[in-house]
Amino acid sequence: MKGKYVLGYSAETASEPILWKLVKEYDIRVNILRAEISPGQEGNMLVEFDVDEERKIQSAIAWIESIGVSCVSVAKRLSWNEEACVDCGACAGVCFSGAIAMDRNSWKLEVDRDKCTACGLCVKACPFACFLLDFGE
Amino acid sequence: MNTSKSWDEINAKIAAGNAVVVTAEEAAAMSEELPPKELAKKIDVVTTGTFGAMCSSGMFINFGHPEPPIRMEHITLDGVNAYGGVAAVDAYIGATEIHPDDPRFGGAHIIERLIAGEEVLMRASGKGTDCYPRKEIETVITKDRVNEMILTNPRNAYQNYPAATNTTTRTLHTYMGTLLPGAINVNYSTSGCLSPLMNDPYFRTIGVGTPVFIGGAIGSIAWNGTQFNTEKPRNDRGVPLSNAATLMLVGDAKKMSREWVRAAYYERYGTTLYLGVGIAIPVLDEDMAYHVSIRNSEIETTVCDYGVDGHPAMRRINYADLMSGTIELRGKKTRSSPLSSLRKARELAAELKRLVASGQFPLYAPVRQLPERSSVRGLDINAGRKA
Repeated sequence: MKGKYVLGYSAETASEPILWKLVKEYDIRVNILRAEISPGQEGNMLVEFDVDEERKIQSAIAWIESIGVSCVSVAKRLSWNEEACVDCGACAGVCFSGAIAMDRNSWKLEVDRDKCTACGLCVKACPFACFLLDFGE
Repeated sequence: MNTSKSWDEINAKIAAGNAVVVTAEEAAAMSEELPPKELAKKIDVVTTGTFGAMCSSGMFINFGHPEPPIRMEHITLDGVNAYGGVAAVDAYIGATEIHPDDPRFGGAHIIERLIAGEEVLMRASGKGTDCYPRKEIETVITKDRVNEMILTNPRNAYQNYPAATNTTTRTLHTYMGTLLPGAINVNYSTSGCLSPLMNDPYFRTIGVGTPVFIGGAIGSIAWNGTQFNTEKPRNDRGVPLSNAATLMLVGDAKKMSREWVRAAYYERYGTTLYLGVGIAIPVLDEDMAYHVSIRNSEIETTVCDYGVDGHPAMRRINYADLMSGTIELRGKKTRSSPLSSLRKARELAAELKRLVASGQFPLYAPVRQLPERSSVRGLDINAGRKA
């Protein structure tokens, strides 16, 4: 199973070889999609965890959190204000993860937050500020 | 058999409740089976619709005279500048006027708030005159407290518009949306076969005085819009291949609703107004039946490169292809995406169909035709003043 997470590092934990440990001890295939860590400061890293047993992800997340690094599923980071949305499609054109797509029969947006890679393009593309993403803030 | 019908005959059918009214999409679908001659017999009115960004929009407000009165010269509405150079207590608030401290908030938001019935803080000042002694005023206005709110838009409902892409190596944030580098996406902005001026490309039934569904109210065409251009090349269906005719629209904003008037913000461009506009087109004869039955595959536009000065054309493309989501550009499959809401355009055309069929939306012949010939020129900055 696969899942995307945003790891939030504090200044104290930024030097920990967390990914090495995730690979070695928890058997997780880690794919770094995006990282923003400035030296000596807080940062965020967008990662995809791929593992055969879901149990291992759960215990890995428990360990990550125990050392002071936050771990939030990306699906929870993207919010879509469907009520304010007019289904114009300005966002769908820039979403290359497949999370936002236009249904070309109903011409309504379909948003699948599990596919989101938190690139943030939809946030800027939407003329009605319908998308919010707190990655990197 | 003569298939012609007069405006009066169509209006009589509407009054009798037996007019056949269809949307432009339905007319396009019917034309698959029926030639224009048969279509002209079968349908009486075709309704159109579009819901997209119309930057050249704004609203006149008459606030009423306070006691003692003031000649309002500098006016802000929730901090956004309104133009006060129209007599004493009139103002014009443009959709693209930006709040000095918040680039994401502007005139469009003020227009939407007032239409929705919300309170807006008005501040105004003037020098004080013998007839208008007051120098400053600060009060809260709503649509019920002002005399008039008249949406007055110098350029709406463009007859076609180029699709945009970007061949440079950096992302562009434009009024045509986010254009990613390397021309990997193309944005387009009209509602295709539902777009009003695509269905009457030579303005036989659309002119000054034509009733218009605008923002949820029934307004009218006041004049041709600015940058009205009849000189753009047309395809064999008579449709211009890029932005051509425009309409100046007016309507009573007090009767409009947030459903059809929405403030928007384009990243690093500014604010604009999404507006619902629709026109009902009478099928007077075979020629009009031919025009209203136009399909997306028969409407073409030009893909332009917004990364290069002058936005050079890259290729011609039809709307069926644009709406499919993928077009070919420079030999590669490229994503195409809309900026105006086709879902809302369809809803608008369906609502207009209901209004026309029930006799609530009037059909009048234009009192004056739109210009037969008009072209647009750029601003010659070297012309200077005559000595």
